[in-house]
Amino acid sequence: MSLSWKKGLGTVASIGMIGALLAGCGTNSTSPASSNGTNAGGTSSDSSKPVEGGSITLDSTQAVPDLDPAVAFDTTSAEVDEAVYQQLVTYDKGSYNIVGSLAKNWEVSQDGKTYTFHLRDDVKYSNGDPMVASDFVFELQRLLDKKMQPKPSPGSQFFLDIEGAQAYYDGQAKTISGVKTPDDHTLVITLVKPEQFFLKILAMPFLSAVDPKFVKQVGNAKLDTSEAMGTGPFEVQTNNQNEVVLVRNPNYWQKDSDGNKLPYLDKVTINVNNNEQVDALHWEQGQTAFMSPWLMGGDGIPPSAYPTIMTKYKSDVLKQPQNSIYYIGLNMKPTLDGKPNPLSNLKVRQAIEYATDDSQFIKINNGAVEGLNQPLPNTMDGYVKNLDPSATYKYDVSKAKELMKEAGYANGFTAEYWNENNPTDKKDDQAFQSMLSQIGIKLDIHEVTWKDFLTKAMSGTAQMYWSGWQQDFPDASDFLNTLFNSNQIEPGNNMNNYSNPQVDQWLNEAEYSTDSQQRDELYAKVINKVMSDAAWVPTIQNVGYYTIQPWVHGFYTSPVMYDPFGTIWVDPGHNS
Amino acid sequence: MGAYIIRRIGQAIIVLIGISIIAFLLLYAVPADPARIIAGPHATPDVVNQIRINLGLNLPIWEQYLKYMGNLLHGNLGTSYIFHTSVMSQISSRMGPTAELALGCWIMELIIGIPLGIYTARHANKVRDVVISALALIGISLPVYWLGLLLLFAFGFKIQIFPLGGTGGIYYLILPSITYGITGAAYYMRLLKSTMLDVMNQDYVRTARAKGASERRVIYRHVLRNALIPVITFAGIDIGTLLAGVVLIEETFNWNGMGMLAYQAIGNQDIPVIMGTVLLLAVFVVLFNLIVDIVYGFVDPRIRYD
Repeated sequence: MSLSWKKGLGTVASIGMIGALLAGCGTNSTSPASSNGTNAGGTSSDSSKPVEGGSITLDSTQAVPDLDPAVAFDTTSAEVDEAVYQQLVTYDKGSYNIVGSLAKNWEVSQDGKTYTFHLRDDVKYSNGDPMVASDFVFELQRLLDKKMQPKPSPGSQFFLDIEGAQAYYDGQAKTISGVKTPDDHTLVITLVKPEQFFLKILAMPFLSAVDPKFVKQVGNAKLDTSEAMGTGPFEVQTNNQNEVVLVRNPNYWQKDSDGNKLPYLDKVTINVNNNEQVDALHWEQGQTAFMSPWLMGGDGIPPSAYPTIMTKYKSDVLKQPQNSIYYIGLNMKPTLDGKPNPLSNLKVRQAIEYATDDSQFIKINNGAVEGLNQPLPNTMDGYVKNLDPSATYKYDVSKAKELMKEAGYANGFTAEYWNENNPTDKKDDQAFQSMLSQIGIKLDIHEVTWKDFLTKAMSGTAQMYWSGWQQDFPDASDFLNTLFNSNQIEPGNNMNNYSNPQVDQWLNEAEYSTDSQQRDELYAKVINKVMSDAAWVPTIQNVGYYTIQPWVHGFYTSPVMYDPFGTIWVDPGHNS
Repeated sequence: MGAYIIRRIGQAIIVLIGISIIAFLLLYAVPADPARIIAGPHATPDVVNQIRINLGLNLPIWEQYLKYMGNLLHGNLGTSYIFHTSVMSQISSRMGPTAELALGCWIMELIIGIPLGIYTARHANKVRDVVISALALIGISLPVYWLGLLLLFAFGFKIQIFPLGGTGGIYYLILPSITYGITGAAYYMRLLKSTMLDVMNQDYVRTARAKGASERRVIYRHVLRNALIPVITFAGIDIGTLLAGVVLIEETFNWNGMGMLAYQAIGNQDIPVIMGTVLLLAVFVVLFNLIVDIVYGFVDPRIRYD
């Protein structure tokens, strides 16, 4: 899902002027009922006992492209898949802590390589078939089948460190040697090397429990589009490009702390509406239960409606920092298109760092984002609170000019700059262009489609570019190893060709270390080094805003997970 | 007449083939890789390559085009990259709503535009003509999505008479039709007004007046009937372009028609769907132009020999 989120944030501002107009149209009495039901601290208040039954309606700007958890890689699909499918482990309510889901518990061997999962024996799929350990083997084989039709899994790379996975992936073995099922309720997975974050990978939707009999019966294409069937709280009744309807899974195993069966809701309807401003009006009218960054594919509240919502319904808004960041890539290749590349000069890159004023990007985004000074969001383990002085850049144009002079570019130069063509990014680009013009760098801006941008940047030939990254799983490795390891240079995600053997060594060491403290120390070294090398300019990080109707309960936000359909309940009479 | 029709149909086919080549080249020949987008940022090169093979993107561009056209001749528009369903089935499920919306918008344009055209022609150069013509100019200039949102806010949110977008019957059709009607009616008004003013100067109108016919009879019996001919021609072409041009209306009002399908496909980089909708909309435009030309050929024999 990484990078793709960026599109959402950009498009949402396209009707900003209209939003401002509507925001100025005053208040009315059709707002949600009294705003006392929620606490802006991450959960909606539960003033009374949960009520079974009822339904909710939601709006989404995107249809759900993939229902098959093995191939789903976008946030909208994952939102629905999380309601239908489950994994061995999951995150505890609203936190980073991993807890059991379909696995009751597990043991990890002393060398950190072998995981033995003890599965629940009371889990059934929504069609009544029992869930057994071999179902995970079947799903892992689908994940690692690079010839799978209609498309192979984009997440296979996460599982290649399982013993025998690479051989299976390369077609040299018929089974995956590192996965065993001693009995129906025990699953043993052995890794080639220990991986501190392996449980977090297992908590991603990819390795969900799927019923092999059912998959073979309906086929991959239908499983991906209309025939989802899992162990989660809901089953899919309808999925098309207009709506998704989820209904209660009658065989769901999980209960609440009082022993009541989950889920509480009978039905969740998600309407696909492209018009975010209308989505905001629907919520204000009380037609939809909540707006969420996952469903909206952007910020939850459209920027155009942000001023109104924050003024009139502030107590119905929950805030959850998101592990996603934006940055400006500075390509470090000595030559580009056969010409010397000034950005290969450290002083030039440092000059750009000093000349960049993050506060302007925050203003452009209506204040709905936070500043960023390093390649990790401030909510992530591994974030460095006090960067080395050599890795810190405060906005200072005269210092930037001085550095340009020292680098031999007192008169500046022209640089090619690439970004996706959308309204918010356009404003960011113009602001950045203006910042760099102060030190003599003339930006030649290329705003292209997302497809063209990605092709250009991933080929490693974009001189400068605006891009972003959203976590796949909450671990610093997902940001730092993916974006700075030289093994990720073309066709990977290290799009600015950053290559430093020392940094590679730290990253590789941290990747397979099981000592959290040692990992944090290594990642701190990486962050300080890449920032003192001015590898790229961190700009802003995302904050997710949720608006919840006061009659909706059991909702909580999470830095990791999607919206908790399974625990939501509504006041009687507030069905939508 | 037969030769004329055949010649026009031949021209229409050439135009459609031209459109298909240009659209195909624009979508496929640009140096971008749909497989990379579909695969996601973490996918291995193997996975990206396999997706490329699955989609036939590893073939030379001319071979891809011939394959596409070969499938097209069998009524196969390909399969959506994103939703894995046939483009034809997606389009066919969206044609009904789009036709309904286009018809609603078209009728509203006529309901607003024709009476105003008659009125301004009858009162040409008077203050009310100037005022209405100025309002019409504003109507043409209003962005559809802006006016649409304003109407939704006023009549869907503040005074809750109509639904806040979506499809589901006549109530859902009214606001989008009014929105398009307001922005499109001015063209009919101006066309009708100018042709009526032309006709009013004709000798037979003067004769009718001289014979003592009432002004109402002159206008409705003698002037309007003749002045309406170019308006009807324009209306024929308009419905073709309307079918193709309701994208913004559909997006504003969450109307799940072909325009919305195209809009979503562009966002998803779903090339077969974009290609399918472009081709089909081109067919509508070409077809309605063809029909108008042929009808014109019947009405005015001089056209056939152009």
